[in-house]
Amino acid sequence: MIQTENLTLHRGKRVILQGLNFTLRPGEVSVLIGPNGSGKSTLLAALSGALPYRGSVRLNGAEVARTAPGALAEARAVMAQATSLSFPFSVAEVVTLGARRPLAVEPFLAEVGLAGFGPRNAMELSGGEAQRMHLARALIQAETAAQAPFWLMLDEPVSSLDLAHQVAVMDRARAFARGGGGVLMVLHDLNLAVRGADRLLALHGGRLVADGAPSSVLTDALIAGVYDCALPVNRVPAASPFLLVQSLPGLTAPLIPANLPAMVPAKPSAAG
Amino acid sequence: MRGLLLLGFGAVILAALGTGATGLTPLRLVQALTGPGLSLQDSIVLYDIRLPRLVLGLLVGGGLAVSGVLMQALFRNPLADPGVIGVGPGAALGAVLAIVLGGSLSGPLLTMAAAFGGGWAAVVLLSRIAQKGGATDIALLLLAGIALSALAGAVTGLLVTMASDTQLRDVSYWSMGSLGGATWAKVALAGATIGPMMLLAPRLALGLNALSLGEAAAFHMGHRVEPLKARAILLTAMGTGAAVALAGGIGFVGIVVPHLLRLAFGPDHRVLLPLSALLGGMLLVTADVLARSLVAPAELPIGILTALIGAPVFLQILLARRAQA
Repeated sequence: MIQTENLTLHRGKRVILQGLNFTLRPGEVSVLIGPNGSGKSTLLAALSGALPYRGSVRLNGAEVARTAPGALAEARAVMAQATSLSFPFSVAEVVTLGARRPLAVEPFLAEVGLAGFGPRNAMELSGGEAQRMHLARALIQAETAAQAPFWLMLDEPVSSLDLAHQVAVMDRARAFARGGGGVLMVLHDLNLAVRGADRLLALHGGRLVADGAPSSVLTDALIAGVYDCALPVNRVPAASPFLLVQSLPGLTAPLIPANLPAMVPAKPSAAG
Repeated sequence: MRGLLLLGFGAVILAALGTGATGLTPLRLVQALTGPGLSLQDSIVLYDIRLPRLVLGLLVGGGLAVSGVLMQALFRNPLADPGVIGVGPGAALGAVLAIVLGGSLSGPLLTMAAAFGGGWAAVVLLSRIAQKGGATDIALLLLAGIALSALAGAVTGLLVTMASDTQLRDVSYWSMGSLGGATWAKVALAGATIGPMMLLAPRLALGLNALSLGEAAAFHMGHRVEPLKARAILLTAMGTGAAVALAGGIGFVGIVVPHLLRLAFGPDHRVLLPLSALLGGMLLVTADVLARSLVAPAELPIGILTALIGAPVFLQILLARRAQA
């Protein structure tokens, strides 16, 4: 369980997060949405223990600000928006850095479509490959950590990924939650959010403006009010994975073709 | 590869002990091991001149190389070298301050403590200037290093004008860099500072590996980042400060040795830190042997040799990084 009570965060004189109260449950994929600068990444950082805050954040019952980094790492893994590597470690070495105890990395590489990438120089990966490598690092941390429920905190984990890998990551997150873990991720792609989330939390100006099931959170009013954007929310039959924002005003053809296969199979190959 | 390193280590030791003005050659040394012992003169040369010089060289070189690895991990850049970014000059300034203004307190101990203080202040200052939000701006780091070196040089120059003749001789010793004048007392000082530093550094290896992914990622993976950085800075100042106090300004060892080791063994600090201690010592002793024999009976300042080897390696790393970007 992650519980916040009046969570507030200032940066200089600017208020980044204002009095947030919510509870996240394991077993669910919770997705943070909101426009640029709404406080999504800051909230994720505060929940992970990386930033000092006012109010309270309890991770599995323990106040995050008073928990040692080692203990936090037993309860949650974090994947940042961008992680740079300063020395030419191999892909396997980078993933191993996440492990709390020794464990073979190859299954975790295979899981993110990087089978056979272990000996490669991690500094020479493409953006998408690097992103999946860091996901594997988070997954091995989850697998080797002592605490349950374990939390995955993912900040835009699919921003560099192609469609197939985006879907694969969302499916992996869902499977992790179904296995009893907790998932909190920041997403910009609302279609993907609707498809993968059990719950959406919308931030705007550091405040929580909507919280609930995707279908109840994503409304025309929210898109207009929060994103300042006049796109209609377009609901299509449940069999299709994509629900939202199918056409722009004056554009007759939908942005996402309606005949897109319902589920893009995730290839475990070295694509990307 | 590691066997080769150990073999080289043995060869370097033999060369260092067997090179010099007297007839004590490597061959004579090997013969002495198996057959009759050394003459009295040869044993004095060996035990009072060459052996302390060798051990001091091993410690100073190892200390500089380990300091280089620590600084590079701290600043997340393979170009960070204690000499290049101003830590060495900072330590030298501390040493000169102690010599000129130390008064009745001056002596090797005060010089060493002051060099440590100067080195420590330089690393702390550099990390304040060049690091923001856990990331190091390498341009800022190098520019700050230039400014710091210039400042340290200027203040050192000022102090030199105030120095007496004896002090001047002591001071000019720092700017050259040399293992000449090695005594067992100096070796003991080096052993007491650089020794623990080389032994403690590998304990930071896992944390430094994690730091390669940035401070945020290291924290996420369970490392206490601030204590880790503080320890790395402290050990760097110990290694650089002691090396500068005992052997003067010797540059580039801290950049060449880690670079070569990364090429051969990869960037894992668990391997890099102990092997740097070994290879750093080997490199410096080799440079010392060359410094003693190239223009014999005169002696080259060792700093000139390390710069001759090191500066091209530095440029080569720069070129490789430019190609990558």
